[in-house]
Amino acid sequence: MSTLDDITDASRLVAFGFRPGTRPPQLAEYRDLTGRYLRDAGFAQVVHAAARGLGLTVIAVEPRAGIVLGPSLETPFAASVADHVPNTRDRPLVLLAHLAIAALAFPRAADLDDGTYVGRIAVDKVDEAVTAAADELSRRAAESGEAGDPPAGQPDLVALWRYYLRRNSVGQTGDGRALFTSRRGLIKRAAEYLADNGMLRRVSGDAGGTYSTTIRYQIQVRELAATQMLADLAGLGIAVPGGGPVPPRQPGPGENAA
Amino acid sequence: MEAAEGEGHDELGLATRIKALAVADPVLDLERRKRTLDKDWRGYQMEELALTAIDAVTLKMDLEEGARFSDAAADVVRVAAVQMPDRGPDEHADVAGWVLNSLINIGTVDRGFQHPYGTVVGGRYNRFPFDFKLLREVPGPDGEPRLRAETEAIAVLVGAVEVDIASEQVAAEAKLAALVKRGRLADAHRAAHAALRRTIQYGESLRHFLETARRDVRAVDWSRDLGGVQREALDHIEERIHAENAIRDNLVRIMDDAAAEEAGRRRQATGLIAILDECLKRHMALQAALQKAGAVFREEQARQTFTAPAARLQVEVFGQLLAPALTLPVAAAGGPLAGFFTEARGPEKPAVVYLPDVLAGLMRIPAEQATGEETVTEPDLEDDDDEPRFAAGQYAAAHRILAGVPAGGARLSGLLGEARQAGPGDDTDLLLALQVTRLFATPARAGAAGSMLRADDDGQALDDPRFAGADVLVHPVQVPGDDNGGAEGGGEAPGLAWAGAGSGETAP
Repeated sequence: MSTLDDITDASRLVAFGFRPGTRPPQLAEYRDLTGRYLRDAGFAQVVHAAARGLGLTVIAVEPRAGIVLGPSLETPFAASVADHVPNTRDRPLVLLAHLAIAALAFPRAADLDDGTYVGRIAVDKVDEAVTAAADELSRRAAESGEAGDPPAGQPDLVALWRYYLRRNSVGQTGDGRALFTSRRGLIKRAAEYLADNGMLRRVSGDAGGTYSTTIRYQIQVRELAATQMLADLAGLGIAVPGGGPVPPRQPGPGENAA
Repeated sequence: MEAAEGEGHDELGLATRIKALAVADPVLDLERRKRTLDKDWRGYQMEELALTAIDAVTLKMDLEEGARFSDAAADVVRVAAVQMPDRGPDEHADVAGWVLNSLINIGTVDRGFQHPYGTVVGGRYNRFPFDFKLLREVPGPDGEPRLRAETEAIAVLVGAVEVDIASEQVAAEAKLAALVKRGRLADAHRAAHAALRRTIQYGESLRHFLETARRDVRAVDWSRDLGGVQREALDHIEERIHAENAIRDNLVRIMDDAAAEEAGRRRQATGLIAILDECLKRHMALQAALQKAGAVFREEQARQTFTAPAARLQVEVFGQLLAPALTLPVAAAGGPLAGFFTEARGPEKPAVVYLPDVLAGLMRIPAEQATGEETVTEPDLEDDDDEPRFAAGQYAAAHRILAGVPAGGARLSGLLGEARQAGPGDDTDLLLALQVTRLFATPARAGAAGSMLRADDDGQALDDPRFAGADVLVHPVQVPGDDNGGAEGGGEAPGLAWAGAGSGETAP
């Protein structure tokens, strides 16, 4: 087979990476290309080169999920935050919702690692979990006596958990419709966006909307987003060792329970 | 100056007092704002209605969930009806809705209130906004919004900010007992209400601790947090039950002693007994919750702490990413959060840019950002009563003329001549010209036999007093594979003849 045909095939496989709704088992051509990538190391190199040229990284090629691509920061293929959430006051909350959805979908580190694990999230539960974490921070702040209000005119300096608690979790508009800028409304928006892009699957409307994760989402979070954000946080001087949802404050409450 | 050393040290307690005053402001503000409405609501005492609303929500919310909007509104409606009995129930409901919505502060993004205050930090005076809520919407068990009174709102009610719950309680009990003894039942009624609210506050803090433990048992220190509250609240309940029983006995005696003419007094005493019963019920509920607290805590501890550790550790999204991100200022968290979003979502097909769209987008006046608060107005649609431009008779005439086009075709000038036979003033010719223009762009079905007509320009100019342009040739064509034409034509002579004539000139 000629080199040009190889390049065409490699580019086609990369193009499938932009169609997260399509999976190899559904389409013979996609299945063949995936199979070829996994068998033929030379072809795999061409695929990697084609992706690199577009500013993308091949994170994984998997028989069920297909090709999973990671955007680099410079690529025009990176999803735009501003397009997703035009309103700047809602933006921190929607972005936080994306992180919280991943956190609730993969509650333990092992879940993220286990390729057969399917996470389930519900909009209401995501809100409850983040609220609980924020409440705990609020209690600690009250104990240490810190006021925590940001300087006047600089609302961006308020802590994210205060910003979160300030918004109501549900709400009704004057004419009785559900408020879509409430916390749950924004979490729902994030989940629907992920579902539209093949990252989550809609399960039911229970608990404000229930979703299950796809393999692609798991790979994307594990291989790219989580590690990258860990590095970002470390860059800000925040490094938390693994081991618990909220870091323990006091040793062994168990002894006193009896 | 000592003020210089601490972080935001508030030596004179100014900030604390300003915050206490600020909380009262939304309530007082209702009284000012009622005049700005385009309704005649001046007769209502809005502060009283607001306090009634906060009262209603505080008393109706229990250990697990909040109060229904409608229940709280019903209480406000009752007081509104007492204030303005000559107004209708609809207006009372409107007023109640307005008061409740104002206390939630519907219409703002965060549905809360803000008041500036300042403290001296490092020798310099700094201003801060104080954010608070009075009524907060929380999800009920059915997912519908319920209302909970925030600590600030309860503080406004009790009339003291950051009071020690226990000592207030003792004082209130003594006051209640004394009032009943002296027979001042109206005051006793109020004092009983205050005692009830304090019981609810105990319930609130217990609920908070249990909820935290349910999420993460390590976040609660049993001996310090929960154990303390549990012991304190149990003592409180015991004392309360003794006190309330004593007061109840006292009341029953007062009722028995009250002469028959003192009907008002008897009614007051009955109301007080009802409140005391409510108190007892609340205490029982609180006691049951307290007794279960230990079991809940141990259960959660077993569930959360004694699970096997993961064999191979990777990133723990909640503990290592979400929890630290929450502590960051909004501005600093933006970068890492945006990075997470972009990478978890994967690459996106960029939209193809179409230059006219970009231009239109740049020129557009920026739209108000939707907050979801706007009222959706139902468009008022009316039937379209416009007169049709051409009458049915004119359509029929034009149709007849086009149907009569011979197989060899006809010039537009000839057809216009036919159309003008009806006489001046009739503009069937315009209709015909429009229809022929349409045939020029796309062949269309016209004529009785279901043939297709088409107009072609062969270069001859139109010589007409009304219209200018090409004198097009209108002629029938046969479309190959046209089932309709075939079925209708059915091998009849005219159909075949037209097909023969047409196919020679225009083979599509």
